[in-house]
Amino acid sequence: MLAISSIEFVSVEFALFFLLFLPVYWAAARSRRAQNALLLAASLGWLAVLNIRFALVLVGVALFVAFMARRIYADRKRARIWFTLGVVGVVGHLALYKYAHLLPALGNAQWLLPLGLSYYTFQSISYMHEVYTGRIQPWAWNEVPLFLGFFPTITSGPIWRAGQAHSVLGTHPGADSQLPARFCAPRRTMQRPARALVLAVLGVVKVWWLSGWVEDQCIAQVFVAPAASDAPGVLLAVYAAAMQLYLNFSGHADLAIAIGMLLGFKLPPNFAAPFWAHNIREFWGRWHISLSTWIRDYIYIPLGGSRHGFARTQFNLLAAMLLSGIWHGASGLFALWGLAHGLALVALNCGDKLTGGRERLAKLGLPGRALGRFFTLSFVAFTFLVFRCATLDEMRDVLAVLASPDAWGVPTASTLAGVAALAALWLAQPLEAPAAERSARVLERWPRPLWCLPLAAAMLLLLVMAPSGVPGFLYANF
Amino acid sequence: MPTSKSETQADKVRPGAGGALGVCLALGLAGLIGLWLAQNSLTSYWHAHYQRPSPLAALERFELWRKGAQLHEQVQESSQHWREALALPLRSATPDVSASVSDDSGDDEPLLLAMASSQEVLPEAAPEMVQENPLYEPPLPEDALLEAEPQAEELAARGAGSLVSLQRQHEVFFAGDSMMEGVAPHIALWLKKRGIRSINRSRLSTGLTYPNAKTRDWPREVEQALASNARLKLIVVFLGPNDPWDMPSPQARGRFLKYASPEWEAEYRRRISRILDAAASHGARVIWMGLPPMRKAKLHEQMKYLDGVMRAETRGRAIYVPTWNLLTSESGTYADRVDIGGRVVGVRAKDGIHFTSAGQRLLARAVQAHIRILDGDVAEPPSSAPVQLAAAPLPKPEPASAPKPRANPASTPALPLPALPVINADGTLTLAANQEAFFAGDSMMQGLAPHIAHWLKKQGVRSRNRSRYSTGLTYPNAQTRDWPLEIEQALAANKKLKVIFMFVGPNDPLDMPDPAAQGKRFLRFATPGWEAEYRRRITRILDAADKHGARLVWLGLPTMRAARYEQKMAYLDGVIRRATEGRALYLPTRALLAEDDSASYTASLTIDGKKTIVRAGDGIHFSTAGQRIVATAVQQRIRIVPAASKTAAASAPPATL
Repeated sequence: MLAISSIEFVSVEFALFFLLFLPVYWAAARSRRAQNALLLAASLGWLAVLNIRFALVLVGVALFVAFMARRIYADRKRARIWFTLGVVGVVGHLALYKYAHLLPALGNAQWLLPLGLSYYTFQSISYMHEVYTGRIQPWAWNEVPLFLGFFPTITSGPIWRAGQAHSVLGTHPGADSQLPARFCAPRRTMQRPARALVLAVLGVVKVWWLSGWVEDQCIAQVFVAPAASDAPGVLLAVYAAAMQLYLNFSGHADLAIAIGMLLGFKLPPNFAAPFWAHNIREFWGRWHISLSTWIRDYIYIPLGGSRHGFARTQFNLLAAMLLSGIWHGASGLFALWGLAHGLALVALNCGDKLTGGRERLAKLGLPGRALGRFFTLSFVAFTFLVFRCATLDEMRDVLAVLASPDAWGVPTASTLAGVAALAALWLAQPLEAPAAERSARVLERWPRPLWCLPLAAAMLLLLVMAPSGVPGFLYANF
Repeated sequence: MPTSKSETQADKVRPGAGGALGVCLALGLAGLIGLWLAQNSLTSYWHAHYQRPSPLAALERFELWRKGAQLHEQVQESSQHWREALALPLRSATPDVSASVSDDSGDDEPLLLAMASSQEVLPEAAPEMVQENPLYEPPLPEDALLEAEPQAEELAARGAGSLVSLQRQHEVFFAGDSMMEGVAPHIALWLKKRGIRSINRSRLSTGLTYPNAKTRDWPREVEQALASNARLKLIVVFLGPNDPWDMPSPQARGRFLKYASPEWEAEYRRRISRILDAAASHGARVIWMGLPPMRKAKLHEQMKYLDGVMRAETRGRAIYVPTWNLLTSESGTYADRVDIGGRVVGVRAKDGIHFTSAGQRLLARAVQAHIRILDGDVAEPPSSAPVQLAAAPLPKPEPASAPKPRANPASTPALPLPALPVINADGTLTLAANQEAFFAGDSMMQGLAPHIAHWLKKQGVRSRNRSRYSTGLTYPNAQTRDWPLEIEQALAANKKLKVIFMFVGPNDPLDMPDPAAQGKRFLRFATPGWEAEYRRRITRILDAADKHGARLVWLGLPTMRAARYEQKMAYLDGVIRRATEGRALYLPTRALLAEDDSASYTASLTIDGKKTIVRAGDGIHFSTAGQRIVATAVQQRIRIVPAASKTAAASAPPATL
């Protein structure tokens, strides 16, 4: 039995596994089929070792999806029915796990959510939809479980599409061109290994060191008993919690993408300096991109998108955000969270309509953009409180401190130091990607075996700097 | 911003799977260097999680291999300075006493008792119900754990009791794992509001089985903290879920002590003992929190065993606060939600190990109930010997001198107390308008208090009504009211609180668990043993009032309709009268609502020639008119003087009752 309860990239177990798996995987580079078999074995193996039910549920869902996709493809006349059945099946299955405890009829059972169920439900819908629209053909039986259970993405995303996906970072190819072992498919190659390694180090730094540091120094003590802190400390903790969520989540995404690259896959990007967004629409284009584009393509656009007039567009937006909120958590708080973001988007659209054009504030130059960024980040940070507070009461406790004039005083030295650290992390956010790219280019000029030196140096730095114990993946519950 | 363009360009620079070999080589080498450097961390991780000698152990005979660990340590040491510079001082370690926290922000909920019993809220004790009351059966769950020795025995053995007295300059230290990380801030806040600083060093994934020099080696940590800080007077420990593992034998390298074996237990107890010894040698007390039930059956059993070990080792040496029965279902098993004062509240986190915020607060209160904060610098605990009102506490009637506030442990030089309310010779009580009142009692008081409170308010005396149906002294209930504790805390928290109106009894004619027999034996109602215990509880309230210079107005019990119930109330009224004699203003109510001198029950009285209903239909409670009659009787015994003229009050002749 393993000492970890999910596929933790930053763990001794995973590191050892991957170091041994990688050479075996590339030794089979001549055959995509063999590589896929290895990947499927590894993915199911991980799930089975963690909990045999995880593997069984995944195989069950995958076979159902594979069957439905084949029906959709073969029975064009009734494709719509098959597709609807397929979607209802996987969504119902997800809902059963996530919301069963709300139904007294089921004895308020709280079932252990199979690892990655949310993510692979999304991927299933994307796969069936691509087959339904005729953009792709059904894959082999063994390739669907691999697509759904792919070990780099199953715990923390990004949500991989079967077909192409468009985001602010351009068009992503999707799994169809990379995963199936088709007759004429070219050999897989590692995707820019130097960049993958830089990205992996960046991910470990974020997940292990920075997010742990922010949690320890700025957050941990505050949310347990907000009234024990002064208002500047609480305010810092609110922003720090948003930063920590970013560091943890994007760090996991970096690692997943890096591991994917080392295995020869291009996984979709998940973050693009989200805290630099100058309005909430832009924020959702940069935060958890693979989810927000999924919601756009599979909820908002099917609802009618922006094709049925202004009012209907706003309704569609609200509905999509509300659904996203409900997906994030079964509590009413998450529904409120989705609603708040939906309303913010609607307000932004109304503002655009009134002022007669998009991005008016940003076009006012630097002060306008700065103001926009400040408001966007603040809105995001305060709404992210739902990730920290289990009930509305707890949230009220946090806000009560901020609302109490007595609690405001001169910030303590540790609060000021925390502010400086957060500011530095915020400034670094848009520099992450260019810096990673530059480092990768330097590395690419070195002979590959020598890459072990900077890797070892990074490891020593982390061993010395990082807190002991790796914080788990915060989004894993969703 | 990365662009996919740059990526695609670079892809073309270095295509080909041939490069995979080089990458695997680089990663493999980096992995080896990582193992070489982090060998010590990995070895302890391996021990802690897989309970086996680490696979790296075989390499330890090579000096070159060991060099890696040395290099790591050297870097660690030489970077110590700037690593510390990067760590902000932890918030909890520097609570700013002057920081303004509004005092009623956190503790709106009823204060709870340390050992919440799992009994239900008592129904209003109608006489018919008394015999059927399930509480006639021992209410405590038949759990092996609860058979261990009781708190009371330990209490008696120690003499010092299960209370830790802290003064303003003292500090509190929290040690523990992620459970403590959740609980400690609540206690810290409570302490901070009372002017006590605390240091929270709790940290996830720590325990006693695998002390880790880099995170926490608790015995050493506590020893160092105590050695470096003489103000530390209380250590609160809460850990265990990280401990149910085999541990490396400290004697034989490479050998493991099997979990729960006698050798394992001896070693574990030795580590607990080290913490207790360190505290004892520095004159600090330890509150050791027991372990709660867990959702997973295996962990549950492991924690049950560990809880027993902790309880046994801390016996007589620390205050052991059981958490087992605080968070259990009625059947004594693990529960996600428990009933707190009639509201079902989620107390456990999703993982079935940690707590929700409500659960944390429940545990925090259990610890807080064992902490008494002395306001002044007086070191000795307040005397619990009864003080005769006529003799001691009132200012001496020295005619010429200005009245001095009573010398009393609750007074501090900086904040002179308002004068003590004076019980006058005519059986009235003089209260200054800036003093405050408190109502304690059951549903009868709930009806009565608003009348008196309204009258007090008109004369400038503020009051707080905490009375609550189904409460009493026989079954203190952590989830509703434990009156002695409640009153102690109310007095400690509010120095202006000078008079307490008390009305309990109708819910009390029940057998009660014998505290000297772990609640396994029951004291039968109206036996000498029962009466002694009941009086002890009354005395505890009187002592609390004495300590804080407050007075009690204790209402006697009225007549009741049902004959057997009336018998019980008449007996109980006598117990109360005798227990409060000379120490409180006892106010009989039996004759108040009777038509003639016979003091027998009547539902209505003739007042001004008009028949007025004074009792409720149940033959127990008062009607509104009845409430007014009793309230008026109370009010007639209270004299309120303006705050400025304390002199007048204090110079009144000392009272004899």
